[in-house]
Amino acid sequence: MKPLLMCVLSLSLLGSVTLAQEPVEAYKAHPGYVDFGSFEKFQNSPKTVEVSIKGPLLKFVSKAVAMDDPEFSKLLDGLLLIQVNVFGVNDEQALDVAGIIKSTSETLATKQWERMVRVQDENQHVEVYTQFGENGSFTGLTVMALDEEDNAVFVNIVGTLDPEQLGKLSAKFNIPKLDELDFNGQSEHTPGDKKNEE
Amino acid sequence: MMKKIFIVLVVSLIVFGLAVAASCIPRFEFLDVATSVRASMYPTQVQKKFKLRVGSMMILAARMIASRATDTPEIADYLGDIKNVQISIYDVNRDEGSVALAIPPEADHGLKERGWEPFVRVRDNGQQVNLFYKAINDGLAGVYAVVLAEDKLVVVEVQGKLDKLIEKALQQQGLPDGLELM
Repeated sequence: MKPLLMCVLSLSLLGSVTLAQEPVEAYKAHPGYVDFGSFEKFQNSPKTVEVSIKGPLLKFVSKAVAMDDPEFSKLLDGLLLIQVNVFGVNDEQALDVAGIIKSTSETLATKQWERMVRVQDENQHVEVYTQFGENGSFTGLTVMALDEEDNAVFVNIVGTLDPEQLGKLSAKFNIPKLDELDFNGQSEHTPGDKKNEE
Repeated sequence: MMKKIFIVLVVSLIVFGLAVAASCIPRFEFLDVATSVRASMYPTQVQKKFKLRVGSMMILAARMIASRATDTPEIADYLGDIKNVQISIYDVNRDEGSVALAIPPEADHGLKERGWEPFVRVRDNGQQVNLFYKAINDGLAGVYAVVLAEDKLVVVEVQGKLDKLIEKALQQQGLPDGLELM
């Protein structure tokens, strides 16, 4: 009966290996998480970019770059989730995007998110919201935009983030719209835009 | 008689288990994904052009050879962490009237059910790239890529303890300045 015993033992060992996959639902309770709703309408767009980098992968990259770039490694350590969604949209879909931006903005306002940037003119609509934690760091950052090239952009970064490190995060992961933000000075705006900075 | 059947059954199970553990049988998820992508492309013709499958036995042999190489002995260490590599490349014969092709959601769902986590999906100019990873106990246990280009479908799966390998690559090459997602 030894082989049978070995089989049972092997199966028990296999069963003890836990998959570290984390569904997005695991982050929903975090104050920095934003639910934009369904993007199903845009799934057939000719251009789509969907990036979802969760805790285990962020921790892995953090560990991997620790020796080469300790500052960036520390930045990643504080993050739990980076979600980026970009869709090329037509005129009709642009109205849907405007609706998502409006409804999400209203929801964020009720959850004590601060609007940092608002740019709206005939060519573009950009909204940036932040959720502040203790000691002035962000616990969440959200960017929603419809740009002049008809790209709808939705970004949500969950976790502790030093505002000064945003540029580095944007450069390393090429996150759209983040590179235009400067929380120490002024954000970039087109002259004459209707804007609202807080 | 019953005892014989029981012994045959147990031996068969052990052999099957060992075969799977040694990657002697193609992994079902790898076959499933390529099959579902190809099925979704019907009637577009998709023909297999290249297939590479390296299981643990071949990797062990490569490791033994690499360990004897005096100039790059560390390669043997990295090879020891790889369990399975599979690459399939298909020619996609699009004619002028063919519709835009895409990686079907079923392919993603099948992988997700088997513990693969999607982290990048890009579609632009008729090309599509879907990337997945598998993490076990805070370590990277596999990466999976499905790439649909103009006239090629490429499916790649690498399984094993990839932490050390990728860490080394990142330390040598650095994290690229901006992943080209846009």
